[in-house]
Amino acid sequence: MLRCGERRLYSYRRATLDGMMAATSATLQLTEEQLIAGCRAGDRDVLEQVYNLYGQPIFRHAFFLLGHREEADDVKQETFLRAFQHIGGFRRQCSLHTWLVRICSHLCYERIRKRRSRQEILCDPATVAQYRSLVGEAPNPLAEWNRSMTLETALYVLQHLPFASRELVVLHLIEGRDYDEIAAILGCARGTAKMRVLRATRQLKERVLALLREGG
Amino acid sequence: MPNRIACRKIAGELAAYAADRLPETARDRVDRHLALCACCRREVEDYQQALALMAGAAESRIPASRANWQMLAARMEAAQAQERGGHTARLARQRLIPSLAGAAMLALTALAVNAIWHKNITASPRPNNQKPTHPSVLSTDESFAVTTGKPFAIAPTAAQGPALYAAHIHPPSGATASVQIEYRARRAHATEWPIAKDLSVALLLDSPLTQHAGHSLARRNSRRTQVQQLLALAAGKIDVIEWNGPPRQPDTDRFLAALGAARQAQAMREPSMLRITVQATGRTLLDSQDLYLPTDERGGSWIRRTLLEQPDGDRTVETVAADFSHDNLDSFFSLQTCTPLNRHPYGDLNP
Repeated sequence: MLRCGERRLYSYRRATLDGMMAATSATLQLTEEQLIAGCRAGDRDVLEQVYNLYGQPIFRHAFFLLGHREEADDVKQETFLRAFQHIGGFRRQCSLHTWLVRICSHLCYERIRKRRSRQEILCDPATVAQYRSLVGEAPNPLAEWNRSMTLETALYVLQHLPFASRELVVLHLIEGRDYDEIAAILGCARGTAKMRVLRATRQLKERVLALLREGG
Repeated sequence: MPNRIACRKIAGELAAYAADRLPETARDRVDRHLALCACCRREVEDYQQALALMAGAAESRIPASRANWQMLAARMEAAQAQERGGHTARLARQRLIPSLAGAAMLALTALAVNAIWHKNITASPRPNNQKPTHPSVLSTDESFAVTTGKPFAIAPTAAQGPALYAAHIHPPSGATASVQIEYRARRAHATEWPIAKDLSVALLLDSPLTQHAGHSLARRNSRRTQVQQLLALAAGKIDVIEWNGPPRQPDTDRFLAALGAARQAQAMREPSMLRITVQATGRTLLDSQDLYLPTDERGGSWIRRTLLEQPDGDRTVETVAADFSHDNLDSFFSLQTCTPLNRHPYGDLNP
């Protein structure tokens, strides 16, 4: 059971990955160890803290991979459910966050594999409608509109990439992870990760050019 | 003129250069090459365009997640309760899986027979005195314990396609569903879909398996089967369903009109699109499994499921949408073409 002081230590709510990466490694290490121990003990408070800490980055990861909010929500819940159920098998060869991202990626891949037999719907009208509503509330609607259009276009391009490349683009270009982290997530060597990222970037460039040709 | 050998040597570094991730020495080398090679400069610009798009996406505000800790905690509790069930749950599962598998096999057989039967009917009309052997998905699924009861006043509408009849399914759990049919047609070469008809049918479907507490497999299969039943009803595969409340004759007519209009457009080879949305509201927690609804003879499906959380908390709404484009509309209709019955299905029960 965690003491109050320790809880306060964990209570940093870093919604974005950047914020999380900015934390000092010592704090993160200590925190992670405690978090993992709490998760293994089934402490509900700790589980909730892990969920609150990593929920948004995991949702974001799933959202960019799937391009669909409801599906990303499903995957997020499934990721944490599986992680909490199998936390005993977590061997600490990578960080807890990396492990969660791996689970999330696998679940996204399963989803996309299941989609193949169906007519893939690339544009979610509900999601688009929400971008529009976000634009309406923004202090600078024009800039927000541009951003939402950028997001729509990016999602469109991403959905046209093969899953492996899409994952790499999301990890490297959107989430800003370095090659070491990507290697840990993919379970490969750093050089391999780098090569794959470059290949995925090339594919992305081709897709963007193709899109521009279609549009113009 | 670009130096091909130099270009090939530098090509692998252009992406990293555009992303400003090259070490100093390599960067200088690329800079020197770019000063001489317009082709590679264009390549770098293309990379920068793609990277800028992704950078813009990274800075964008994405929609907020609707999932929260309370929902996950409920799922975890349900999973733990299931584990605590231990031996009893395993026994129940062992009993349930064969029965569900058997029911599914029966349902598939019925669908196959139905499809063949409809094709035969289309090819050679049935004699008037011959009683129709209209197979029903529900009646083949014994696990739902369907009993036919007093029908509501939904008379079969001859020459209009599938007829909807009534049955009681016990015990009711309060699960409801509605079928919304959006039909759009346009003239050939038009770019928009100007004609939109909102034709909806409200139904209540239910299953005793919905009541089966603490067994996610049962709930999941029950839910899936329910929605399959609903689509089967829409496709004329099923003629037994419970209606809660007053007769829904107007809705039935609208539903049939939608199917008729879509079929007419299909016959005229007009570009058309038929969207069937099934929205189910139930008390049970929905599982995150995908729904695979057979909508053509090959078993393929065009189904998208979205899971929405209702404002009132414990109820969930499940939406299944099936889009049928001009290409696959044919296969849809080949499944759902239904000759209307010439007699009231419960004539024997209610003379």
